[in-house]
Amino acid sequence: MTRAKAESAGGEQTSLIGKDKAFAVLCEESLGSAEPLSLEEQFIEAVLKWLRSWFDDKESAELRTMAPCVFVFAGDEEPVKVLPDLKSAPSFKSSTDASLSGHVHVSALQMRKVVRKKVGFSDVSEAVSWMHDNGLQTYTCIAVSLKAREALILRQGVDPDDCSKVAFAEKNSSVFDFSQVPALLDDFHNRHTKTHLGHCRIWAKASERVLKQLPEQQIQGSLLSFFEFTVRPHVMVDEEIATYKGRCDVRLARWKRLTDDPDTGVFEVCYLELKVLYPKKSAIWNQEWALSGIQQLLDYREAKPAPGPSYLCCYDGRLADADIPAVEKRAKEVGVFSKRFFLQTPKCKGVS
Amino acid sequence: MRNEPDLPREHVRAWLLILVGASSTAGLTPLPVQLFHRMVFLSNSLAQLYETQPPAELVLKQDRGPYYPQAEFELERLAIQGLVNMTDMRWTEGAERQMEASFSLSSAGLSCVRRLVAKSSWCASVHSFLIDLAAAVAHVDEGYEVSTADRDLTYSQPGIQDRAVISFRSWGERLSQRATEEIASLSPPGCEPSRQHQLRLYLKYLERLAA
Repeated sequence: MTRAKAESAGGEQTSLIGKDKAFAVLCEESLGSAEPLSLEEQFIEAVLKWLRSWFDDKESAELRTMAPCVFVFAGDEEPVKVLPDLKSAPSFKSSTDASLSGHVHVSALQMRKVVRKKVGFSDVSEAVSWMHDNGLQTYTCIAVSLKAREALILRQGVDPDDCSKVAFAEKNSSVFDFSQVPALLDDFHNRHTKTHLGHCRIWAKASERVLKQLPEQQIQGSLLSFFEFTVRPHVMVDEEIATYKGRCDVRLARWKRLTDDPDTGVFEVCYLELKVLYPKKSAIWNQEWALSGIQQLLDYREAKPAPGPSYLCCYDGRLADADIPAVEKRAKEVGVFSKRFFLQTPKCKGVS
Repeated sequence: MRNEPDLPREHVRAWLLILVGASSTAGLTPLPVQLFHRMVFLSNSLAQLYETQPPAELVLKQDRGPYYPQAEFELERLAIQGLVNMTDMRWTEGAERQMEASFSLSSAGLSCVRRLVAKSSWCASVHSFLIDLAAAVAHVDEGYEVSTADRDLTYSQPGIQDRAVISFRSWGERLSQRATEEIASLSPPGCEPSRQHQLRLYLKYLERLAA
């Protein structure tokens, strides 16, 4: 036996990697999340990614007759031991023609070692009850309505009423770019903030148009989750990136490979600053508040220069649904996109 | 090659048990002995990324892949203790007949791992590294884990003969760690991937090399 030393041990400056392959990996895997993901979040990410490609392969007509299905993360247990009568489903992950209808699937991380059995559920609510009856509330589970293209994420130990919901859009073959952000913001508003019945609960008393404390934080949390599920893995989503000019609410960073030079890429960054306009504050106060958001965006751009758009997102809790001309004018002058989303409280008097 | 590990023997046993547990959580078990040695190697060569002292900072290069006789001995010992299950035992064909088997965590082994991680901060930090490593290996397409690990930059560096011992004690010799960090450095300032994601990127990079 001989003892050998690394040839390049002294060559600290020498590149060890093939940049082309490394960029290809970065392109495929993106930058990941800013913080390490828990095992449960890794499981959720893998299942949602797999489901996206599964849905992409299916026509809506095929889905209409399918019953809901369930995915369960076995954690550190052997998947086969989680429920009785589970049968191995070899190569499940690599197939897109797998029959999901009515099945309960239990697996390890990355959807490895899938075992399953057919139960048959009439709707998602029945699937959630079944999971509860079978002691699965101590596991992280995903209940999927194939018909509605929706998944309910039930994290271990979290009340089912507080579960997150993910919708799978119809197949979109285009690669994500920041031009899709306005439509995503509209979609988020429609689902989460448009009415007091949306997923994002920001009203303390909607009938009197009283907002909860720190509504921006509520919206920021929901918006980050929304982007996590809609733009990842193509885009890195993070929050409140501190620069010496302050903190930004949402940042989307995307690596774009240059077609004419595959060894080189450019990072684009989209900043979003969220401002809630308050019903009980004066018109001048709300105007200055929104204008301060534009200045913050300019400051981030100055502190961390990168190509990409900046969005001021005003969630409008005022009584009247009307643009603020000074804000629109300033945004236009400095190249910031201004979006205003009126928060509706239909039964509230005095709202126009 | 030295038989004495860099860490005390009890720590090495705990490391191996946690490694089998992490492989189980990532769905890699039953772990064939070939993959076991590669998991041990990757855990040794990448541990410093998590500022963790691994059981060994060297590997014996063999035509059948990275090989740690001491680790295999310790694993078989854990099997005899009832903490690890040994299945699919068989003898290989050819002149140098060797016993091969697959390994997975027993119920007693799972309880032991849970207890170690709950009671020892060293075990908890090793567990967090080994879980991330096993998850990164599980992210490689099924069936390509062994060929991917064999392309590791420390192990497959040119000019090293079979039956040689490759050391990675110094930073200059830690090509796996340096390559992982170099891939991460392609990200822009402020967008650096987490260590967990760095491992995943490195394994996917090796998978591309092996393709």
